[in-house]
Amino acid sequence: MDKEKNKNFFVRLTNFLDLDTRLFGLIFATALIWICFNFLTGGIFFSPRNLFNLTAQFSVVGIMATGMVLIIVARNIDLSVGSLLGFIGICGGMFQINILEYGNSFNWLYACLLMLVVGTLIGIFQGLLVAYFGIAAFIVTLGGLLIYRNGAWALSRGVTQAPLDENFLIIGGGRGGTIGEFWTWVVGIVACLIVIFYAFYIRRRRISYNFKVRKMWVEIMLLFIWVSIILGFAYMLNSYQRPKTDGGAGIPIPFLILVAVAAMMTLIANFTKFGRYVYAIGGNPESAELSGINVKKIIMMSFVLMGFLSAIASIVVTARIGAAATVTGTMTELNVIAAAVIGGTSLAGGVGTVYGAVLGALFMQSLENGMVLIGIPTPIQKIVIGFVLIFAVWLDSMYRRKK
Amino acid sequence: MNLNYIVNILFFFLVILKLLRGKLNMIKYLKIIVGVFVLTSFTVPLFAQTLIGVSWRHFQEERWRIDEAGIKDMLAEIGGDYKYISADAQSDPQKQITDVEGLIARGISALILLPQDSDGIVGALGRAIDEGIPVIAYDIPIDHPDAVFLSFDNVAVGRLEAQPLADVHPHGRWAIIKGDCTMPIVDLFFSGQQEVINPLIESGAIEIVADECVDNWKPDVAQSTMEQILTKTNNGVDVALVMNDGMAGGVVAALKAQGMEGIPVSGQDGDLAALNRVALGHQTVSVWKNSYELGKAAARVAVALIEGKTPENTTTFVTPSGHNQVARLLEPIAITKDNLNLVVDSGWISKEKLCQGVTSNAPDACK
Repeated sequence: MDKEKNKNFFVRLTNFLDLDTRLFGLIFATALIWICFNFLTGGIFFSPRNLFNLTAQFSVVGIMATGMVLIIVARNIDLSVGSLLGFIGICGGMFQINILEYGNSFNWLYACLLMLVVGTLIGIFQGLLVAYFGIAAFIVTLGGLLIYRNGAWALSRGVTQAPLDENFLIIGGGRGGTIGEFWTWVVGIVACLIVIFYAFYIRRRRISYNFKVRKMWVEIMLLFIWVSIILGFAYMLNSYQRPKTDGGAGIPIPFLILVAVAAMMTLIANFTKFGRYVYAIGGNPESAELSGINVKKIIMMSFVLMGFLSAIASIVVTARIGAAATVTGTMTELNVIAAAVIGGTSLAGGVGTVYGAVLGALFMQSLENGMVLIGIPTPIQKIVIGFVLIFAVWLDSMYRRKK
Repeated sequence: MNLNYIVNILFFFLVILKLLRGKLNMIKYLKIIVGVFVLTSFTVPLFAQTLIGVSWRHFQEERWRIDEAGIKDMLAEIGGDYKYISADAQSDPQKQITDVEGLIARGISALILLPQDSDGIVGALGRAIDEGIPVIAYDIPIDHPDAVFLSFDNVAVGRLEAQPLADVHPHGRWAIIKGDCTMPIVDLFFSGQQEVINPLIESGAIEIVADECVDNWKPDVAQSTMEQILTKTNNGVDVALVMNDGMAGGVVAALKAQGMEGIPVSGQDGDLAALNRVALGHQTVSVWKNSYELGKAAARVAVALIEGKTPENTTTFVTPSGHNQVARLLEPIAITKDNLNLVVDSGWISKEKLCQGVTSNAPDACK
C-alpha cells in the first residue's frame, strides 16, 4: 500500500486503467502539443483541413516506422530506408515514363508492382548480408544508404522523373485521392467494431489464463473514448470541403494505406510465430537460438519486410509529390528511427510496439506541422525538434529506471 | 581515351591473375595500379600545340559532357593550334592533385579547374600559377588571388526568379520557399530575390505571408511546408517564390490539391519536369544555367589569358578570405512560357517531353 502511495498521479492512473505507461505518456504529450498549437494558431491547428494535412503528411514516415520497430526490436538498425525511398521512387518513375506507354489505364498497377518487387529484392539482399554473411546491420545499411542514393543518381542522372501517370497520383492523396464521405463512415464504423471485438477477445483470453483484467466499467469507458476518437476523426475528415470538389473529402488514401499497414504489422508482430520470434531474439539472442529459433531466417525476414514497407512508402511519397526526385527521402531514415524510439522502441532491442511507432511518427509530424502554422523561423523549429527528441528519450529512460 | 581504357583493363587482368596465383602482395598490386594509371593518362603523343588542360572532378555526371562540348566547340571555332586535353578526378581530391600536376608536366598553357575540394586544391593551383599557367576556377570558386573565377551569376539567378513573378503579379500575398539555409549559396540567391521584392514590400504592394527554409532542398518537405502555409492563410497566397525546380514540384503538388495550380511559381535549374510545368502553365519561370555556354566562355577566357589579354566582361569577385579575383559571371536565362523554344532548340529537352499533357492554351513551343 505504501508503494502505491509513493507513485505519482500518472503512474497510479495508468496502473488503474491498466494502460502501457510509456504509451500513455506519448498520447498525453501529443494531446498537450495539439492543444498548445490549437491555442497559438487561433483554432487553425484543429481545423478539419489541418487534420487532413497531418494525416497525409505523417503517413510516409508512419508506414516505414512500423517496419523499423521489428528491425530495432531484433537488435538491428536500418539506415538505408531514406535512400531506398528515393531509389525505389526513381525506379518507378523511370519505368512509367520510359517503358510504359503513356495513358494506359493499368500503368499505376504495373508501376506499383515493380516498386514493390524492387523494395523486396533489396530487402532480401540486405537481409542476406546481415543474417547469413554476419555483417553488422549498421554497416550493411550504411553502405546501402550510399548505394541507393547514388544508384538513384546514376540511373536518372539527377533528372527528376515527371509527369507521372494520373491514376498513380491518386495514391498520393492529391485531387481525387480521398475515399469520400460514405466510405469514410464505413471505414470508421468497421474500425470501431474491430476495436471493440479486439478488446473483448483480449479480455476473454486474459480471463481464461486467470490474468488480471480491468474492471468492466473501466473497459467500457476506455472503449467509449476510442470509439468517439475514431468517429470524431471520421467526422472531422468528412467536414473538410476541398475547393472545386463536391462533398466532404474523407480519409486521404495515404492514411488509409498507413492504417492498413499498421493493422497488418500489429497482427504480424503479436500473432504470428515470426513476430513473436523477433521479440524473443531481441530479448535474448542466445536463448532464442538455443530454444531452436532459426535466428538467421527471422532476421532476414525482418529486413525483407522493411524493404517491402519502404516500397509502399515510396509509392505514397512519389505519388504525393507527383514526381520522382533523387533527393526525396534524404535523412528520412533518422525521422523513421526517431519515430520508433519516441514510440517506446528500445534501441537496446526486445521492446517496442507498432502502434507506438505510428504514434511517434504522428507526434513528430505534429510538431513540424504546428510550428510552420505558427510561423516560427525554420532554424528555431529544428532546435525545438532536437530538444524534444532528447527530452522524449530521457523521459523514457527515467520510466524504465523507476521500474 | 579508348586506348587508356584498353591498356588499363589489360593491366588490371594481368595483376588480378598474378594476385590469384599468389605472386603479388597487396602493396605491390596497389603500386602497379597507381603506376599504370599515371602512365596511361599521358599516352597521347605530344605535338607542337597549345594545350588547354581541364581537370574535371567527376566526369561521370551527365552534365559535364555538355560543358565539355561547349569548350571543344568554342576552341574549334577560335581555330589556331589550341588543343583540349582533360583528366577526370573521379570524385577523389587526392587524384585531382596528381591530375593537375600531370597536366602541368604535359606543358599546358592554361588550366581549367573544376575542383572536387576547393580548399585542398589550392596548393596544386599555386604550382600552376608559379609555372606561369593561368588558372580558371570553373563553376566553383577557389580561394586563390590569381585564379580567374568563371561561373553563373547566382545573385542574378535570384533576381531572375523573382522578376517574372513581379511582372505578372506585382501585388498581393507572397510566400517565399528558400532552399537549405545552412548553405551559403542560398544567401546569394536570396539577395538577388530581395533586389526585386524589397521595393515592392516597402511600397506596401506585396505582403510576405511566409518565409521558410527547406532541409536539403527536399521536394516532399517543400510540399508539406506549402500545405501548412495554405492552411494558415486559408489559401491566401497569390505568388510562391520558390528557390529551385525540385521544390517547385512539391509546391505545385500542394497547390493542385487545392485547385490552385496556375498561380505564379518560380524555380531554377531547367529541370525537365519543371519545363513541362512551365508549358502546362503550372510554373511561371525556371531559371536556366546553360552549361554549354559556360563551356564556351571557359574556352574564350582561357584563350584570352594565353594570349595575354584581359578576358571580356569581367567583374571582381571577393572570395571568402577577402581576395579580389577577376571573375566572368554569366547571366542565366529565365525560361518562361514565351521562350520555351530556347530549351528545345538547344537540345536540352525534346519537344515531346516538354509538351506532354499540354492540351489547352499551348505555348508557342508546343504548337
